[in-house]
Amino acid sequence: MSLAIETVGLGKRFGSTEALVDLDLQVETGEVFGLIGPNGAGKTTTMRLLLDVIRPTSGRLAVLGLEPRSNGPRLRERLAFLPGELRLTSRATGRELLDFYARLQGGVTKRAYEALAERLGLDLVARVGTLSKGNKQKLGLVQAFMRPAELLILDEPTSGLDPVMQRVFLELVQGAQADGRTVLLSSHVLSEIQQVAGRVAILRHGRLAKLESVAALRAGAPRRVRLNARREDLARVRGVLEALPGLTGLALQPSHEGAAEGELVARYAGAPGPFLEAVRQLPLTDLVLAEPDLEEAVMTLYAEGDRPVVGGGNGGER
Amino acid sequence: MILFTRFLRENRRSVIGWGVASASVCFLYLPFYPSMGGPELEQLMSRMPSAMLAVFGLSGPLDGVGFTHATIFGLLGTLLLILAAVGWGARAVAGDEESGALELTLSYPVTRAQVALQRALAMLVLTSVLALVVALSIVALSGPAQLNVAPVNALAASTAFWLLGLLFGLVALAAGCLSGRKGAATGAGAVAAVAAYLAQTLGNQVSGLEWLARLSPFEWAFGSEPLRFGFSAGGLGLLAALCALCVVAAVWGLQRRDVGN
Repeated sequence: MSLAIETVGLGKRFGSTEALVDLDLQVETGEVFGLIGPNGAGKTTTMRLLLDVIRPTSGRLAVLGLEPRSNGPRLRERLAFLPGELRLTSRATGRELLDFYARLQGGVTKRAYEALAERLGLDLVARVGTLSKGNKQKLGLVQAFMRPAELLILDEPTSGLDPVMQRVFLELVQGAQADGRTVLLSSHVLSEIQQVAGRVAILRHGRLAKLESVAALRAGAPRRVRLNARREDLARVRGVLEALPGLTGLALQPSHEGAAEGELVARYAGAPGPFLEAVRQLPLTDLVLAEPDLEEAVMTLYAEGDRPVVGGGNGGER
Repeated sequence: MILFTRFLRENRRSVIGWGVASASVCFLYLPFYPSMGGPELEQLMSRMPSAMLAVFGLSGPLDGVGFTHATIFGLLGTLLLILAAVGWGARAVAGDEESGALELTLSYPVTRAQVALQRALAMLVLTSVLALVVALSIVALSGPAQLNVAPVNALAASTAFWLLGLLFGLVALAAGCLSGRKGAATGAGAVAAVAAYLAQTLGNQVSGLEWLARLSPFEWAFGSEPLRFGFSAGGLGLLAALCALCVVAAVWGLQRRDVGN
């Protein structure tokens, strides 16, 4: 079986709250797969279900081909996990705690976690309870990556990490993938994991809003556009842009009194060809076509999903 | 046994603190006996209402054995042990769960039954340390303070004391395993202890309520006056059985539910 994770109609209800609804997901072995969504979208719920920390109310799931509940330790021996909310309060030192986890796993050498700690710049002598949020997160990462896991399940792995450590984290994920391991990771924001994830599932209100490769998301993502032209040309520029498919949110920036130039901003989603064709004839003084904004693409998805659910106004989740 | 040793190590400081406190109670109160005993005390006692004396565990004659029971097992010693045990019981699973550490532990190749059982076992060891401290303190002071407590009887009373404290700790553990809430676990342990204490006191004071005292673990532990008469298998057996029941409830409670949140 080449699927690392398979869920069919997976659902989880907490009281009257539907945390996860009818989720069908297939993650292939060796893939780096991202779960994206705002708080309460169902990312953490999905991960906890995979680990048998919580149990589904409907549907079924298989992790490395095994059902989590009935296979218990036999399955979890082959997994690694980083919890999203790790508030370590222990008086133990980092070394003591990692030693404990290493022995709980079995077969993890001291050298394995020491090398990882060094790579992440984690002080193993300090008491765990006194560590900063970022250092606790590093400790969580060390214990996850030291395990000889076939599947790593990482909940918000980059939260609290500075940009340098985020880079080290991305290298660790790439290394795991090079070893043939599967990685499932979650984030609020796509930008933090887009460099490593091949595919992402975007969750919203416990439902799968979209399942797409990062490349495809990027292709469909809107770019920010800025165009400058002399005041007398602005009307003509606007006319051309308004007729261009894929261009939205066209607006004139407020500018100083009597400025000779005006500035237009907009968003453009689509292939660059038609855009270039349209602006080629325009008398512009400046033009910026920014990188595709993946965050914008995800936000657009959330917004799209909201329309049929919310009758009017905003914020009505149920 | 990694979970067992880890929990012991996490509570190393805590057990030293409670141990020092328990020994202090023994060494602060018991040496007063020779200066308090004799006719003056007997006179004072005879003027007090018997119900009030019973509240402090002063039912029998106030010799060295009676004094030791009243000060240590009837009052402060037992209070300290129960406080310590309930604290450990609430932290063992519910506290770990609230901090998010439990779900990480459960992602490793361990079963939930192992988590509950090994922590219950660690609580058994931690409480036994405190019971041993009290037993040794009494034995050490028995001669100098003219208490006249036979060492085997000190051991018998401390064993009852140990199981009594462990019981309320395990009530907290079980409540934590069932609910996942540290507050609920602490509350359950405390309420159980207070209820059991009241049941014994009321049962022994109010005629017609004797059956209430017989239901109380305090009565099972000390009703047979182990400090005077030695081991009593019946009471210890009941305490041990109820402890075992709490462990079963803890394992069952943790296995059946969602962890976290």
